[in-house]
Amino acid sequence: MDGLTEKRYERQIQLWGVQGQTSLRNSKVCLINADATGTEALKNLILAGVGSFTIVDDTTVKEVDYGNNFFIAEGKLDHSRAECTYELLQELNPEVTGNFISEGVLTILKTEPTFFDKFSLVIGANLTERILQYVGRDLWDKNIPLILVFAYGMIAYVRIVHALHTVVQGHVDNLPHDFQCDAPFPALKKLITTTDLDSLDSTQLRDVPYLLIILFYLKKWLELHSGRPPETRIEKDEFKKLIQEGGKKFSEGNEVNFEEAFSFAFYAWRRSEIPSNVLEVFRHPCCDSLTKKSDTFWFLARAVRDFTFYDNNGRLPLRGVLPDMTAGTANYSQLLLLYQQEAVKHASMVSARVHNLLLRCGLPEDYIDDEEIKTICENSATLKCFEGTSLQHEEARLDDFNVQPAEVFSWYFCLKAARFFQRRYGHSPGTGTSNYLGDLLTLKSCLAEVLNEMKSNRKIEDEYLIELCRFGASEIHSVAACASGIAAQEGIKVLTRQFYPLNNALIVDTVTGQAVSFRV
Amino acid sequence: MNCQEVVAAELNNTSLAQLIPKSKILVVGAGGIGCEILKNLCLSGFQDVEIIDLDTIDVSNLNRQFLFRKEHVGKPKAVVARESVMTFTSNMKIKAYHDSIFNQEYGINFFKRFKLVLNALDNRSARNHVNRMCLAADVPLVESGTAGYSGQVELIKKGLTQCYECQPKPQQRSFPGCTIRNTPSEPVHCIVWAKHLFNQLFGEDDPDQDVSPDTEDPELKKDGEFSTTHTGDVQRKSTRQWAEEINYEPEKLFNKFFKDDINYLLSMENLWKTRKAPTPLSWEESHLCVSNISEEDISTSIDMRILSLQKCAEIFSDTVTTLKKQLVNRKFLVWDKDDKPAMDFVAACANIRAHIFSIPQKSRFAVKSIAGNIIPAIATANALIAGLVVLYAFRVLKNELNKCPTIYLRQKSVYSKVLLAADNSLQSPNPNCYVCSSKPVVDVFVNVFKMTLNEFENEILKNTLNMVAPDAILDGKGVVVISSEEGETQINNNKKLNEVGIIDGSILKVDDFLQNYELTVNINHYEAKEKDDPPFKFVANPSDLKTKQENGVNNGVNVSTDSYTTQQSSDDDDVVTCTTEDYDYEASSSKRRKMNPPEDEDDLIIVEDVIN
Repeated sequence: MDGLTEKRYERQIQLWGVQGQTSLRNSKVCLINADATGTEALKNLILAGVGSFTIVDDTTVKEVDYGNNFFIAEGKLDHSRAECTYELLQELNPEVTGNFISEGVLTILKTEPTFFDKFSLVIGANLTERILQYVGRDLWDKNIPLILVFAYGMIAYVRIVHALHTVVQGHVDNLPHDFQCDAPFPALKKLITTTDLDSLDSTQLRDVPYLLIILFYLKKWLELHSGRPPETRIEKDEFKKLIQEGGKKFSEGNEVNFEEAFSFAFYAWRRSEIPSNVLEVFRHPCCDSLTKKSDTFWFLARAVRDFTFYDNNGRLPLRGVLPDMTAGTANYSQLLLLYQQEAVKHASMVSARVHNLLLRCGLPEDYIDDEEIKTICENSATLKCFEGTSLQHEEARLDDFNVQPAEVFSWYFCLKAARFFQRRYGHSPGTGTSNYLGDLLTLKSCLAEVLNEMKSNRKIEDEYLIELCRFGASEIHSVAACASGIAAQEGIKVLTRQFYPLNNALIVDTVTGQAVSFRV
Repeated sequence: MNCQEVVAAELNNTSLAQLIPKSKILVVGAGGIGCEILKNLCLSGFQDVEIIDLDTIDVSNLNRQFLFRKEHVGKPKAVVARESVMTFTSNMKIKAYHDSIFNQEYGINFFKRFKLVLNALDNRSARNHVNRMCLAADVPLVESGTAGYSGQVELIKKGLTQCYECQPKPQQRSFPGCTIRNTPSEPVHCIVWAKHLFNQLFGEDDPDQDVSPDTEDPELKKDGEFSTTHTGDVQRKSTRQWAEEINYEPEKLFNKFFKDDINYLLSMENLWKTRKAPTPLSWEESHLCVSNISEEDISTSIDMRILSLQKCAEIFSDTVTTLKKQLVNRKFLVWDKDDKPAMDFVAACANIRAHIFSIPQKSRFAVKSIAGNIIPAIATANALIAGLVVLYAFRVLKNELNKCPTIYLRQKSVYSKVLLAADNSLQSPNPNCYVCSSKPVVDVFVNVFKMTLNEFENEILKNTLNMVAPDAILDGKGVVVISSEEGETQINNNKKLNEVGIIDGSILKVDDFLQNYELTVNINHYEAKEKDDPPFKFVANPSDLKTKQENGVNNGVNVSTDSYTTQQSSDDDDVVTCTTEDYDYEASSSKRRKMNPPEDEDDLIIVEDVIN
């Protein structure tokens, strides 16, 4: 990345790092439907620096586009909307290449069934039920992520359809530190054995990092308690007292490092367990059935799993980072060095396993680079896989629906009913007659059918349907902007495989200012 | 069909359709949110918009401020934003001001021209100012901000809602000079020091950026007096002058800043009674510190590594030489995080100093984030917030103000499932607010024997209480002590407060004509005792004062060690300030959310993510 590029993206590299930025640059995004919602979502992704984009849209520019689509220049009435929006969107970022196809997506797929194969993400904006079902099925089978985004009157809806999504860097807040106090690795064990805080004077004691203080008193404790760490409340308090006493060597109360040791004392009895999200990854069938075509994630996950259980006594690779501690530089560096060296060792063992797995599948060793291996070792505790829900199976999880506030969630069914209505009658509810309420009764029966199909006995009041008719499928720019902001954000998470994405649907009610996610 | 018809007619709201085109809107700020707002207004059918911004375009704006392109870098934001929008639409009138909103031209009458003001600002003092202007002009204000993934939109309407200053914001604190110069304890202290060192050696002279030991450290006082051995600062001539005399010889510079000055600090024994003393480092010694924790680890990019002292010393020497050359034929250099030698110099010096004080060292990347005030800012959050801002604009026009409760964009939607949460109702004004209540009062704590009237005016009335051109009258005596008329009270400037009769218990009536703002200031005499005590404090709400004094809390100056906010202001982007963050958005209930309103991109930094 050259200096200018780095500077262009510096405010976001803070969030997803150079690796995330590289993933974005290597990605190819397809937008179906270049309406206001679609172009705004694409705009956000182009600004973020995706590699390329393709706009698929077979419509021509109408008056209504001028009313809400920023990326259509004046005087383009009746021109291809794909072309017009492409022209303005590609100006946003010189580092992103783009193209357009002024054809319907179904037409394209008919002549070129592999059309979507090259894309890393497809965004569908305000798609009709017919198209979204078709596209949804195609992408689901190919495991290409699809983000559906709708701006319908004052309501926005975002849905991620992705058969299997995997995340390496979860960026989980407050992840516990990886100290391994319960089973120190050999080099650390050696340091603990040779450490004797009792023989230090108060100046030397001030230099000891809190982790070493904990480890030292834990050693003492274990000697006195036949190798059993503090377990009960009383024992834990006793242990903390040991640390407190140790800090009393100082004339004027405890030193900062002893205070830190006191407040982090729980690491002495904390067990380094494999988090459930990682176990789910390890148990996933993809981990066992590696083939040439497997995603690199599964090679990495499998190697980490094998390392964990065969080489490391059921422990994940050491993260090799320590938090800041108040201590002398030399002492701190020495401790950090031990953790880093051990982590490097683990990474190289994982790396050997990755190479071995690749060879067995007939892939070259450099198929996965060392940087990726290092990243997965550092982040092994945040690995997670998300099994999605296909559009055809949305009804299967109805029992899980327990969304609060319930009003927001009613819109999910209403929007579904509106698409159902549009598919059956060829127009959106509220636009059929001069009086928008002319469609109300028909819409009501559509909703009943939808609810029945989804085996739901949910009661939805008429006022929702009246609102829906009033909306008349209008796409208000500011609502579209909100919806597309969320859709693009999720797109970035999916493309970078960083942060856990929306799982898997979200309604925004801009009337009440609420947005709630749920899993369908 | 016109835009406003799309928006309104399709929603069957003809009154809105008529209101939109004739409503005059002011957008304050043409940055991340401002660009989005301007676009949304344009596509909603607004036809009469004015936009003001002082800034010019920077490359790092381009990842989100979509109205700007590479070729616009260096040009005024407001002007380019206007031009960009105008190429898309011909039926909108936009007036752009490349100017500061603090300028006296934008007085009450300016604000009164607008139906509605939309804030898209990046700093608190401008937000405070626009808040007051809108209160004074009685124009509704939609206030918004984002920081990384989080954000907020709120309506401010005089008498109906809380104003921007009704709830005390987390206090921002600049580090006391003596912490920077004598007793750093956090990486950020060393980084601030290193930037000051750069300015002392190569930059424009600024006496507030002294890097040498500070002999007026309150901790050095014995029985309230400075011991006689410490008089005046160590240096008798300026650092710059001295550096020029020795021709910027790296070895000599190094020994002065990292050995001699540290030895001098060690002689101030009081400082090290309760904290770990620093270890001086000579040029020769630095070359023995080869062993390093992660230098061999070449798979990490050099920017991410923590360099050895030897390497730091090497960089120090190289960059001093380079910067010295750059200085030839120039009066001074301006520090820029994107200027490699300047950035390298600061990273090296900060790390050497950190080592000396047993403070964790940082990678160049981390130092750059802190030193350069790089705060995450992304297009997606701005798009969402700006969309909501304009939807609120509709409601304000329809006079549905009660339908505009504050909305919060939550940082982490994954865990709670709630991405946007809104208050259940408008928050009523704080009856004791020192800005919007009918008789605003504030308690100020200062050392009336030490603070000059000039300092009082600048530090307290302007910088802290955010006034622009205050006049102050000593109550009861009717004496004008501070006047906004040039020269009228100049004679008072260097007088101590007590010399003009301002003592403990005095009451000042302060009036800012521009902001149409009158404030009663109760003076309390106060002396900074503890090391980190601020030189002065203020309490906005006398009833708060009572409870706080009872609890022994210091005016909420809670400084947390794990998060910082950096306030960027044009004159000094160097003041690193701290705040406690409280992103507690649990539940979307009606309970008041005690959260810190996220400031926009340039105002809030959560360094935690960056350093660790």
